[in-house]
Amino acid sequence: MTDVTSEEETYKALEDQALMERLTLRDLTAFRTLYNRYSSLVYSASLRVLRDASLAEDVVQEIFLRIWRKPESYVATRGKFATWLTSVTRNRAVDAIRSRNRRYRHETASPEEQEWDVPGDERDDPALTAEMSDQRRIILTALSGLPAEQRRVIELAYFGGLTQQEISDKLDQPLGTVKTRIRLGMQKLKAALSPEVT
Amino acid sequence: MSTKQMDCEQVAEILDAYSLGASEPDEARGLEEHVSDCVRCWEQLNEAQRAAAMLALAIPVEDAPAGLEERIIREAARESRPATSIFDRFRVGWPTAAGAFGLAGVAALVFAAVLQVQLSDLRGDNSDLENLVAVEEQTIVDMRDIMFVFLRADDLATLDVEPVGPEAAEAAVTYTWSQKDQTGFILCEGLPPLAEGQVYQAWFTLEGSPQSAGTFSSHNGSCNMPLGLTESGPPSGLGITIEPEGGSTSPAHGEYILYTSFGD
Repeated sequence: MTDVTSEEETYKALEDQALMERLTLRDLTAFRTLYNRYSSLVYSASLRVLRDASLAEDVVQEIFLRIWRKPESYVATRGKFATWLTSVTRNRAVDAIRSRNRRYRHETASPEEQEWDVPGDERDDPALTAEMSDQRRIILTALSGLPAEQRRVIELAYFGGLTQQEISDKLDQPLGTVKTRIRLGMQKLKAALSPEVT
Repeated sequence: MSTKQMDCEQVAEILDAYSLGASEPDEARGLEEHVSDCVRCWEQLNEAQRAAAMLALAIPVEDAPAGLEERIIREAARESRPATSIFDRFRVGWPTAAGAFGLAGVAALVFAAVLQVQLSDLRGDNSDLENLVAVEEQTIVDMRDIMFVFLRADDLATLDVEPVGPEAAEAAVTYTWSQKDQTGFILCEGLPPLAEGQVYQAWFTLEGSPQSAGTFSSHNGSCNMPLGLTESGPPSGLGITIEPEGGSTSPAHGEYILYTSFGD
């Protein structure tokens, strides 16, 4: 008889790429392992964008079933699975929110509500893998080095789904100022994250 | 801005905003067109996009809601099941009238009940069984469609599949079918246990020769398996053997553990 516990441990020890390869063989245990590894991250990212638990659930379901249906959509040579997954999640969540009434969203999601976790806070989160925890520490440290106004426009762009013009309108700041803040902020982030992103 | 005039310098101005999803649509089109032909800008864009994607790791992490996992796994399991002709063939609407329901109809309901009991037994904490539960739950949905066929069928018949030797002496197996709808199922209790790597295999006797009707396993000796018929009519017999996993092209030992003749 199969030792289920042992099998679970075996799957948990597999790297993302190995699990994704097993998905092409319709391996449900590999799928469940990936879900358990990343569902919190996907849900949190969706929730941050959508501000609606029900819609965030829908995005989580859509993202994971998309992975199940087309595991080949992830190409390992293009980057880490977690990075790809969060990017896909963010894009889908932004698509979802753009399909809703923009005005409603703008009225309900204030910039103050969308502050980063705690820039500089390097706590481990038990829901994250060791590798993701390392990356979390790196990105939080990098964000803590940015001026608040640069963090704010990056946040509004990435999680708010706003264009630079929309951020300009929202913050009542000149468009040129917004563009400069985004560019300077991203340059600093890329420099701080250099080992991770190059 | 004209998309055809964007150069490397212009792309450098907007690629950070693009990687955050904050560029205007015409800017985005210009950038995409440019990087499709410019390796240097393409690499810079990749770098910016990786940095942007890492932002998601900075947010507070919340557990996904309870119940979502099972919903997703169940849907994945449903999609992973190959479409079987028998299910597709009998995917029908609600019957307009219930047909004769007698003994075979009762067997059909027992069949559904057994599925439910198995499902309850399978519920557990480990992922392997949870996967199995997800598949079984979908099986019940599929079986419900077959039940609709049975409930309206007016030619249901049931045969006992009798033990041939002492090995299956405790087994109680029936085969219920509707020739008109060309469908049927085996229902069993008390099947002898299988060794590792073994399955049960059902055989129809057609023109004097055994023809495989499919393999199946049991749960604590219970089984249920859809087993359709051909248009040409019922076979002359139905037997069950124990075979290596994957089944055999003919009964491995030439002996059935259970068998029944269909008679005239």
